[in-house]
Amino acid sequence: MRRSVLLAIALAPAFLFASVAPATAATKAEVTVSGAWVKSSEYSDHVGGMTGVFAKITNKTKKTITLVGGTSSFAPMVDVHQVVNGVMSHKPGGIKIAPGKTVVLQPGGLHVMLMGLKKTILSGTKVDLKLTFTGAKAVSLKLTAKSSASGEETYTPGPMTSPSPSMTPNK
Amino acid sequence: MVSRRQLLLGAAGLAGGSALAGGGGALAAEAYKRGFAEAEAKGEIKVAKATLPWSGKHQGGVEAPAQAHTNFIALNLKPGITRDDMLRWMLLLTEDIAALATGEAVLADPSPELIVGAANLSVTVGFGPTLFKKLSLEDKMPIGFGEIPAFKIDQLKDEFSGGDVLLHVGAEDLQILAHATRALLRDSDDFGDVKWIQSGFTNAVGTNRPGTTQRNLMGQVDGTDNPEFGSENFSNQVWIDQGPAWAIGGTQLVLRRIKMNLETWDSLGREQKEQTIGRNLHNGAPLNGKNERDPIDFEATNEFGQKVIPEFAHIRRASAKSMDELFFRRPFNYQAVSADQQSTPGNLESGLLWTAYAKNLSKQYVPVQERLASFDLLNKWTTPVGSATFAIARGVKPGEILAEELFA
Repeated sequence: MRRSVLLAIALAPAFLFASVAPATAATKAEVTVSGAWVKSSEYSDHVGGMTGVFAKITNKTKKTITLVGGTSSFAPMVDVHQVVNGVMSHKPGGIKIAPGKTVVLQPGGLHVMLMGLKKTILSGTKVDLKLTFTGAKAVSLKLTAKSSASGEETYTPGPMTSPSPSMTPNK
Repeated sequence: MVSRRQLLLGAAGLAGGSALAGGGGALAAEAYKRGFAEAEAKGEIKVAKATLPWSGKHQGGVEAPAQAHTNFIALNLKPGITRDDMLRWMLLLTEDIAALATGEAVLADPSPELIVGAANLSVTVGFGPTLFKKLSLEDKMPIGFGEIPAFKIDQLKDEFSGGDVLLHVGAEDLQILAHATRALLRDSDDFGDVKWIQSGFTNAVGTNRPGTTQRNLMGQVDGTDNPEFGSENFSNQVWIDQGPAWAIGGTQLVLRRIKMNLETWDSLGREQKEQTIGRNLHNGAPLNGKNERDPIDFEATNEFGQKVIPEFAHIRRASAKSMDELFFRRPFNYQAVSADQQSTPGNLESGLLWTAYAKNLSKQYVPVQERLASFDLLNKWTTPVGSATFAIARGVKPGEILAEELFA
């Protein structure tokens, strides 16, 4: 299974992988993450570049939690973004997830941005990312970078195909 | 006493009770019926749910019966691709294979609903001699691997020959295979350009009893003389056991696209056809025997003192002259509209994607092919139009990356 590949490649303790570990660990997880990937493109193939992270995130707790950002050895800035009317911007207050609900981070919608890349992200690069929440423990992931065009046709201009001044994160 | 009602309840997996009211029986029968219907529904999609192992000492897609549909895909490296790039490509492929072989869509699949199961999907990854040259990895070539010599019968076309990287994808279902093929090529797009895709087929699941040797489009039972899956012979003939570590547990593949001249073949009498091969058409038995698996007797003679299996017969020329000449062969059928001007109805071309797997192609396969090229009556009706060799990497354990030791 892909899950086991991810797990073993990460060479990290299984408990970190609340999202992708088998049932025993998952039952205790506050947050599960599935289908997570990072986009490789001409915007991520150089230092200083940027890219988006996409995934399905499920809140397993009994209260609303908020995805507020994260940390990665690849990027000093990990920010929660939205695309409204084709324009990408920082999502103030983070992404709220109601108890038992799943939020889908996808191209053209809500997503996590890695900005000011310190290392290149190419197709097949493994990218570490720790997602941080208020109301739940952080989740560590090891993501695969892909150039898949999944979902890009749903918006114009897109964050990866046409960066605009609004992409500068709010500080 | 155990009542029929309780038996039904037990069968339905409900809790039994000794004092059930009258209505309980109907409920239990309902549950039983439901259970039966569920089992039946599962059976209806058993082809989709069938899986083959993708991890282990060997890659999938070699020591297993051929699936109904198969795509051989050769890619050439894009300019400037390095060993580091290869590692990232192999990582993507390894993750894709792990997903697809277990019936899951690959990561970031825009249409994951198309993967309704694995349908015995397998992917086998290999590398052509040109890849080793381009990446200066000649010292990591397996023993006996390289380009095979040109044979005088060959009329090879570049569009069916060579290639740096092989992806061989097989599945019992063509729609799953098509989507899986796209997924693998999408994730290969940053690294390689497709040089050729050759699609083949054999009978679908449920058309033959398991273990039946397939027939080629000439009508012959084709592939009888093979080592058994799981046998020591298979292992000894096929799996590489010395040389560079990345290939130990791997093998060497030669793919030959063999065009059949079916129109002239069809005009032959049945006896001539059988003499040409040395086996009968009814069940593939050697002409000296009755059953497919009867031992071949090349010395047997008829009442006129002539050899029962003629000197020119294909099985005589193709048979191993020493233990070194044994290997695993597997033919896939193909049919395509020919690009050439032909005299066939509809310009239809039929043939074989003929494969041989050996731990050392030079030692095991080449002498046999040389013998066939020099004299085999079957050559009158067959023409090799494509040829490629690939070194197949060893299998991976979950967490490893295909061919990591080759490119690291």
